[in-house]
Amino acid sequence: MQTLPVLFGVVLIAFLLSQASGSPVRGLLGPSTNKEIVRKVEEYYGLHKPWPEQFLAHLNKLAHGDLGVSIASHGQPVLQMIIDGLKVTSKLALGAILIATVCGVTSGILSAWRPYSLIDYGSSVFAAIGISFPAFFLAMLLMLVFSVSLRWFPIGGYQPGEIKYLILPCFSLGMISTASIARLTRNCMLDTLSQDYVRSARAKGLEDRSVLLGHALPNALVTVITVIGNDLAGLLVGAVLTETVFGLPGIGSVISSAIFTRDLTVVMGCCIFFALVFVIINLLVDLTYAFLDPRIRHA
Amino acid sequence: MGRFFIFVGIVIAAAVLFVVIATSGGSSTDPGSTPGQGKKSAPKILNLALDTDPKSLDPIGITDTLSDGVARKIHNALVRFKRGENGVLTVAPDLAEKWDVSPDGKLYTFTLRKGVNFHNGREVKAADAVYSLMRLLSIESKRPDWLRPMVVGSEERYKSQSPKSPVGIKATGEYTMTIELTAPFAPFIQHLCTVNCSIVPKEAVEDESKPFARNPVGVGAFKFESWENNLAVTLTRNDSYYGGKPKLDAVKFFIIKDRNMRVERYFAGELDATDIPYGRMKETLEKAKIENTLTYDTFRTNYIGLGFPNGDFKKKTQDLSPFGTNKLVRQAMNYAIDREYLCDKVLEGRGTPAKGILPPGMLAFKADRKGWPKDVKKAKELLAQAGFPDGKGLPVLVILHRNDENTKLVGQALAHDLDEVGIKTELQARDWNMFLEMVEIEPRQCFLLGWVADYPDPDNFLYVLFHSKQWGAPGNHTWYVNTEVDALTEKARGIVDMAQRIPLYQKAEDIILEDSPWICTYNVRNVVLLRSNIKGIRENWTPLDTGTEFPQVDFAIVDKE
Amino acid sequence: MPDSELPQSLQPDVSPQAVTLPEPPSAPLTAPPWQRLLRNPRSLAALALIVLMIFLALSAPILAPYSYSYQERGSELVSPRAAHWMGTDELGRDVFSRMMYGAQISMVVGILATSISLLIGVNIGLFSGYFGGWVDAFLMRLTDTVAAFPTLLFALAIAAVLQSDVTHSEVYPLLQPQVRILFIALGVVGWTGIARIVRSQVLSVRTLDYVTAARALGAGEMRVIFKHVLPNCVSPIIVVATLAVGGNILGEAGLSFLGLGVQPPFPSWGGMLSDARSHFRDYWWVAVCPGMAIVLTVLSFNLLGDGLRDALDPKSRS
Repeated sequence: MQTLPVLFGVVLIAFLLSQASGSPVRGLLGPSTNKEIVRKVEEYYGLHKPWPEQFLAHLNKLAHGDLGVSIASHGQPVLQMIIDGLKVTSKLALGAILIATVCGVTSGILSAWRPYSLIDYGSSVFAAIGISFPAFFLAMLLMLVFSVSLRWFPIGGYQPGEIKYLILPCFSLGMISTASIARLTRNCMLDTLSQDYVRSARAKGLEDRSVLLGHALPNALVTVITVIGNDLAGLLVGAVLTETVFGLPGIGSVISSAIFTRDLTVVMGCCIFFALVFVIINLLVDLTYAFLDPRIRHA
Repeated sequence: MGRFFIFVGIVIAAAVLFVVIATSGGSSTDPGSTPGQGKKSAPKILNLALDTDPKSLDPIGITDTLSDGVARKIHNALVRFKRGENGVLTVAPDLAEKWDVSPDGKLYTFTLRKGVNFHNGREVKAADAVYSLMRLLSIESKRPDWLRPMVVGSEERYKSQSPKSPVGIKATGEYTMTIELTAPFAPFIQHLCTVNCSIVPKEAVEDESKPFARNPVGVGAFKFESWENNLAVTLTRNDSYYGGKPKLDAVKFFIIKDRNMRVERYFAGELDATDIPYGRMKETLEKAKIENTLTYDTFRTNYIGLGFPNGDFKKKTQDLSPFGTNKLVRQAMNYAIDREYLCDKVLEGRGTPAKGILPPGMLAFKADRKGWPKDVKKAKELLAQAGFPDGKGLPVLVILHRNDENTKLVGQALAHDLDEVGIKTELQARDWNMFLEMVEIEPRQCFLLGWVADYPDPDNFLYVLFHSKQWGAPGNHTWYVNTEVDALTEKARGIVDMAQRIPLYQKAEDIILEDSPWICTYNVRNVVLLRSNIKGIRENWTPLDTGTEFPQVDFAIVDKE
Repeated sequence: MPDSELPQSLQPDVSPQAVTLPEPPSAPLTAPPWQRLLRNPRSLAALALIVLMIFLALSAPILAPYSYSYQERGSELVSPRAAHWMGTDELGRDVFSRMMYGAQISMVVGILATSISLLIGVNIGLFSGYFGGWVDAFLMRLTDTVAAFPTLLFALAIAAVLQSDVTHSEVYPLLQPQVRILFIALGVVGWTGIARIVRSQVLSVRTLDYVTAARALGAGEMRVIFKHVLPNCVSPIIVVATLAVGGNILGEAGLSFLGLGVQPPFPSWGGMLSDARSHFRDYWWVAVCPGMAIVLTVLSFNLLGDGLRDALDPKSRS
């Protein structure tokens, strides 16, 4: 299938990037060491071999489902780190998507119901502003207002099992997608509503609401789902920044600290893992398309 | 309409799913007893915070103070540091109940305590100590230089990695062992106090099902219990600890990356100690009462280093002048820096102006040094004497430093001071890996770095950082050389009697300060919050401690009321 | 990937931000594009704001009340007042002046990064759409691969890799290697959206009569591509480029926030936000001011892009 070369390309690029960024060993040893020690530790991790050899070794390990070990953490399996991080990030992402979908779709429905009205205008202004916000700034603002001034939520941090630590970050992350989902829903619904078969349905006396929710909305949802799928990459980026501001121990922190300590295996492992996830999600989106829209199924 | 309801149904199901997973996973990292609960029923858990996961809990893999702090509760070594009267640190027995040094200073004989058990139940024997120390010379060890090159055979063994290569560490009996050095080396016994020299059981290290770095087994007051990534590391009491049953039931390290959050959790009662975020010193100190704070000085000197065109780098004379070639320019810089402002305002009291290389409290520290109070007039005079009146003719000084929040702030404050006397600067930040690589391959025009003592011996500063054999990676990043300093520090290393070494080190420091390869800026002072109901830490901290992990404090005696 | 195979009506809008404001027609469709643009109040406001930002950026060395690095010892973290319109930061530097200088970085990085993305993306889109076949397949797989990497992380990795040796350059901070790294990294990872849009435009254009005619007349492929096909793609390219500038400004802010970018003391909006992280809970202005600057600038570029889309091709409005 088409996805295999993409995956290979991702692995290759990730590998080349980590090679080019140098070895993490030096930073681990502190400001007093000597070349011998650096070399010996690098040998231990197999970093001294020429890069084609390392690449093949890496591919070999991948084939066995082994993502390698983290150099900066003295041997912790990368897969384990990713899974641990995912425990938090998946909650964050799920919450964010939920909020984005609910708020976005509702807002879109309202706008399509009364196009060009005050509601429509208001929500579109909100949307336009929403996508102009840097993810972390929004996070900081929300924290400023809700955690510091109003004291409704804790000022960041995380304890598993306590939802209060997740609410603000989910909102922060979700807001940005809300904007695009809202617009898209509105536009697609209006598109459908202006089509002939809808007008004739109305003429036949079908209720407004039924037309709106029963016909226009499902068609719009098809596109919305694609946007959500596409947005997932952006969600990960947003997660990195949001997690930094709120101090959530998720994948975002794993990746950003790995990049700064040049923990090659972790960076590579994450890239590969996520490229895989995105590819799978896109596949699912395709399938959902086919399911929802009879036109595609027969195409 | 039907499809709409399906959609709503999916959304509601997703919402329920979200709430379910969001609230799952709790209870395993309960903060435990909150202060004020009944003493009998609630377990006594000391709750501390770390800003990141430890890198490793295997002694030979530890290079950072955070991992050191956690590991010290689990591992013990042959000897340890103890804070004596007037605060001086001395080497005291730990797993070795006594030791001797031969008159020529080359042979160390240790007698181990009997009846000390590892956490897995087995008794500690001399063979274990030998095994643990030999691990330092293995290929994955990050600190082989605690043993090499001073221990006989250590250099050959490390290079060849051959198990047949003999090394001068031998067990001479069930509980006795010897270590033989190639030449007398006074600080050696202090090397053995580091966490890297801890004694570990071979069977646990070689158990592949439980990677040792994450499942440590040691001899210490606390046993390793669990380590959840990014969440917490939990240690529980070792009832059969040889030093007596610890008073605490457990020690829990929560991993909380953000300083502000650590403070919040402290005030919420979930943490017993925390450091204080930058920018909030005043408010935090007001909120916590004075009895809940602890201020202590550390063996750390931060400095501005200036590179010298020595050794292979004579060709860099052009690039490094005049900062690396003209002493007067460097001395001018010394007087331009406003250390008081730096320590008071920028660091908010987390530092004290440095008056020399050695930090206060260290042996051979000369208390009567005057230091360099800010004197713009004097600085300008010196600069003019050097041939650069008002800085005219000086190239721009590129200040290389580590890319972290605090260093950047310090760098900008320093740049302001230098600018005032006419020295123009440019700040360049690099990430830690790259920064270290850059300062060790060649002398750089100017860089910001600090040095934390690994052990309380002036050798750790004056030899390691200023001897010509240590150019580059081993520690002398300025490529400074002075034959007299070389001779003094070498001689002092070989004498075992401390009283004789002190004058040598003091003279060496005098010479170095006159040459000023370092503009010493400040000594780090830690200000932390520590609940007043925690006993044992306040009285026993040492300048080797950092943060709130207190690696040098014997946690067997720490108590929480 | 779905978008290359779906019928037109079901293609999701793959432009960087699929947000358009409701727009009751206000100018006759027959009026020339720039007139339509200028008559749109929102686009006009956006354009004005962008011009203002550029003006502030360019005039900073002359008009800024303080130098960007001047530390007023004793006035650390003071709230907005007459002497300091946006207060001061933790080293006593005037936030408003730093914002003016920071605009330089945002504008330069935003525009140059977009230029690089255009260079790469337009060419890939053109060749992919025009030639089809295995060229198309290969280029699209390449696009998918690059698109599979989360943009910011990819740029972060590239920027970390490109860190250079330290040499003093007697140049204005704007021309530092670090700034170059920023827009190169952002440019090199941000072209996928542009490529896809150009490609779909080319697909619909290449069957047009006069293109076929040009080929029949014997014009070389390259000539056809660049002289006939490309001009027809200009409208969507302009629109997506404008939106991309906004996106790259956000990207620059993100990278600076994470520690890359121009060296202190030269300010950048993202860097100022990053520095503000420790203090903003008690001293809100050090974060809110640069943050709002980013929001307003990006918003303006988005509005301008929307306005351009409407002005250049009113039919493309949903």
